[in-house]
Amino acid sequence: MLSETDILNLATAKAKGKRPKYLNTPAEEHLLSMVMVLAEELAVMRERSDTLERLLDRYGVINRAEIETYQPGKETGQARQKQHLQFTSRLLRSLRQEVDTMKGADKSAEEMAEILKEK
Amino acid sequence: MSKQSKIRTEDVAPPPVTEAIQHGVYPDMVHDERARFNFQACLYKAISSEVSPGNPLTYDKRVLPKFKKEHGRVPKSRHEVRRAMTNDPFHNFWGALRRNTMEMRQVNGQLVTLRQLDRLAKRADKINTDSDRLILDDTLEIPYYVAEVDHHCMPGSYYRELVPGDVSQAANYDAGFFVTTGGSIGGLCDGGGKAVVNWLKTTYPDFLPKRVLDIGTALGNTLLPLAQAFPDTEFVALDISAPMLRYGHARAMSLGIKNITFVQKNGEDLSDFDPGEFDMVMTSIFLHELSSKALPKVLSEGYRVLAESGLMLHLEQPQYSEAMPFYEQYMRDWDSYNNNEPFWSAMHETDLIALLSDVGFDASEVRVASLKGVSDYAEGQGPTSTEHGRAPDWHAYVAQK
Repeated sequence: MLSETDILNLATAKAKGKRPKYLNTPAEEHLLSMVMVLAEELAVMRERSDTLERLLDRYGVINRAEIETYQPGKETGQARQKQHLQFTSRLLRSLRQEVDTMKGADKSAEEMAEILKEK
Repeated sequence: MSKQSKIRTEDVAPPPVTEAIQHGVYPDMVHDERARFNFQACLYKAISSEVSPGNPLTYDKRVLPKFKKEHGRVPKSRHEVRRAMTNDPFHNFWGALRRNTMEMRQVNGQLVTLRQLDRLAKRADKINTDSDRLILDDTLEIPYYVAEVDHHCMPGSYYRELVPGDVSQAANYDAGFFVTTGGSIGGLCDGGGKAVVNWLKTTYPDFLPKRVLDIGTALGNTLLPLAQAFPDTEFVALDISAPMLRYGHARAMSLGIKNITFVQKNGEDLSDFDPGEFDMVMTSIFLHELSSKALPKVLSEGYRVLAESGLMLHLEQPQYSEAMPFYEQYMRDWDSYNNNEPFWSAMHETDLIALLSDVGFDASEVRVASLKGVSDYAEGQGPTSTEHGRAPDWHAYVAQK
């Protein structure tokens, strides 16, 4: 029997032959591949939650129609909005950091290394 | 009028993987494994119907005008079209999407089959054991054109054996085939075989072969409808890969199809068979995985073992012809450069009729028939016609001895 590591290594192995280049930089190639895998996993999660809802509905635990009309109440509504904001901050992290960089206060690691030699 | 491209809601979503026909060696899948495949089938479909139509547009509006301006003429070959198209950002992004879908399909299929590696081998072995219809040869050398190429970006190719009796690559190939074809060739991926049967019964209503040879049978998925349509005929199915044959044999047996003998053999050397032993020699979607030297050998060996007035039939994507625009030739060539099908390009420009004539057939008697894959599902679930080289629109090249 294969170990989980063996399976992962074999399943994600590269096929023989050089991979064609499609985009301008390796970074773009990697980003696209990552985005596509993330999109896939999002679709998988949606299918899974759909399965859950349908099973819970079938066994009378929930009524699916109630999901569409669910009113969270003040406290829960606010907590959920906070979760969204946390997520959007994580999502926009690199852009926000670039804006901060444009403010000009940052030093490079090399500059800082030089400064620390003197301090 | 709005120029916004409409999301084509009239298109039918491809069937989920739960609708693939579950034969006796079909791999088990848990919820998320199935969901990944379901998503992938839809992604293939969406790229095909929503993004791929941009390729002919970018060619006409950007790539061709730029080429004309630079060269003062139109492209003279599909290779010139390829070099021009691979400088176009839209086309390249489409290519990157397509390449990734193929790589993801392999990861997903391998994750399914590798975790049940031993169980799949045992399930196949239980059906195969003591059968005289599975003949393996562990001394057979894997030919260079298979050993050195992971076709369709499938790491480990057709022949990888991690454990004795391994069938995992075949199970991976089988499960993923249904996903990438979006159900367009049926729940057993046998729509090509059904199309061949329909064509044979219409064109040669009295044809009743005693023995049929299928070279490069893989899962045997295309051969099965023939074996069902001619239940008293003896079929011999050759492949170089033991995992494919073990799985193909178990798959056929579990579906109640018992008139096929699966034999591990390279189609370039049929010296174990007598001259004229078969009434029909066929290949399906196979010739493009050979090499320039192997192709004529397979044809000439096939001719030798074919009986007088017997039929040779090759099912393939259409050969390139002068009538086919270079743009279409390039799009059909795409898999050759991007999906590890390195012989595809050379094979499809070969004059197949001339090759058949070289091995002894009368060139004027070679028929070229257009065959569409037969689906068990609704119209429009598979790739659209803009997917040259992917849609199940084949040619059958048929020669009578």
